Amino acid sequence: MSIDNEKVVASATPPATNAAGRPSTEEIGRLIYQRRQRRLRRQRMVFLSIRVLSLAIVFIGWQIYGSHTIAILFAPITTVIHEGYTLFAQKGLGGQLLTSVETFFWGYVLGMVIGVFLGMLTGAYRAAEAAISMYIFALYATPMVALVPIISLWVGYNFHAQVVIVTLFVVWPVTVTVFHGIREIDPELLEVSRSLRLNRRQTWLHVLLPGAVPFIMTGATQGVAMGMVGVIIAEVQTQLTGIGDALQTQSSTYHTAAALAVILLIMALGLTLRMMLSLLKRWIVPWQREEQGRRH
Amino acid sequence: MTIHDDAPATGTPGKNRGASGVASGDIKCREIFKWFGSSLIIEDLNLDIAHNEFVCVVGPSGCGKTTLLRMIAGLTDIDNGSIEIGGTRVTKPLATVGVVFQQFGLFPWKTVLRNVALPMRAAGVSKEEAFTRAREAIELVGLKGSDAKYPAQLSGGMKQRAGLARALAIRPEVILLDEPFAAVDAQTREILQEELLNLWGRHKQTAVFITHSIDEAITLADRVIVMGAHPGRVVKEIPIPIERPRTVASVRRDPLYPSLREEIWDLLRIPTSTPKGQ
Repeated sequence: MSIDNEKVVASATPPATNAAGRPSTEEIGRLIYQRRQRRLRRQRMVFLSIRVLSLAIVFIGWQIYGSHTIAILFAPITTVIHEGYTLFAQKGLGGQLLTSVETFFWGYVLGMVIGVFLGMLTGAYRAAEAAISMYIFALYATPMVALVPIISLWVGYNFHAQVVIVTLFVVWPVTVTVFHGIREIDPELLEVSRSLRLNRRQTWLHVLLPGAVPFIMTGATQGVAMGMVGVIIAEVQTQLTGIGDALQTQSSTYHTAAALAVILLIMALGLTLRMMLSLLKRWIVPWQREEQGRRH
Repeated sequence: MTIHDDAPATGTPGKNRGASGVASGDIKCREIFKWFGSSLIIEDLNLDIAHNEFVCVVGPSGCGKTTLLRMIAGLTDIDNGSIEIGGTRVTKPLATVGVVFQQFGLFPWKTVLRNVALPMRAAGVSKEEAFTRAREAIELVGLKGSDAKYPAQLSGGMKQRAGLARALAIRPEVILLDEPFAAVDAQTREILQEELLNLWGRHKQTAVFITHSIDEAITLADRVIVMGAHPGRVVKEIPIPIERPRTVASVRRDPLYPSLREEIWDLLRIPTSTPKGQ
């Protein structure tokens, strides 16, 4: 960010030359800076071009293959997009999307809160680790799909069961990541906080919590992926609602193009959530942004 | 080879001397033993450091010099014997002691200002006062203008300046430095030595400085403690009678410098007894 400001300032100053007509040091610095900026812009352009080219190849390939196969198995991308539009316009896919997002939101928030709490507790206190970490790792290793029928039995075939299922998908990877994160906080920093005579509360506030933030963010990213899986499974396996409903209805009636459109929508939703999270990360972890800023 | 004076304290007598006759910056180490597992790291170490004395500890790797410093800092338990600072027995880190760490020990998520202010904030000093004193300390170590920077934006030398500012801002009676300039390049190291000489000349406190470098020890110290390894113990205490104020260059030019350097070198070269169990 700061680099751009410098650039504005630099280009605003008129070119200065000394008596001999040779460019001044500032002028040379400015030229070198501009050259570096041009190179960076070029690298970004190359990156973007490759990405656009790759998308074009995939979509053209999809289009050609889709046009030469039977509609029950696959469909060209144009048909898929058209079907997607129809779903939104006539079949209420927008409303279903909102339903799924709501389920995801509550399950995700609950999973994050419980996961961060459990991760920090077991990471920081040996007694807590001894008491509960084996359950956490056992559940982490268990495919949560296995619990879905039992959850439905206990909670019912409703919204609440769906939220619980999403929570269960989110909570274990978050817990495990935060647990390891707390463990990886530089022991020297804990030593320093002892030497600076920080009490327990101050150590949590100034050392453990901020130290765990990057790991919480990593957990949050994993949680998004797991939460998305949880939402679709919860909606298909319990009460048929939301995007899960759309997916199930379209694919079970062999509307393959429409089902593919729903899948594309799920992908887009996952990507959007990830992007929102990385923006949030830049804002929450400013000391890491500075670090990365120096590397470029 | 003229200096063979084993007199313990050459430092100025403390002005903060209490009724007991103990100055607030006195350090007394008595019969210290330390084991790591079954191996003896420090054997029967006795050491007196006077109020406002600058002491450098040199010794081969594994002689326990860092362990000794950590025990004085209250970070490592003492297995046998005792350490007293200003008459207070060390069982945990004391409020009158500032520590400068080899790897700086700065919190990456805190700006320089907040890093330096942290120990004062933790001790309950008001935010304004802590920040004012932190800014003073930051200026003192030559970091003015870097208040709002994060450690990752600083060079090694600047990081250690911040570490020094944090230790000094609490106005300690004793400052402990664990090879503080080992992680910076040679030129920066000399600049920092020069600045430390200057700073300490203006604001005296008891200083214990661990180093690998004989030159650094002679440059900075009133007295050099030479330790031997396997197990760690004090081999010899060598007063450095080079006049203050000093600079890195003035110490190198001093006629006493070559003989002091040779003496310490010879002590470090003496083959120590073979490590136990080898």
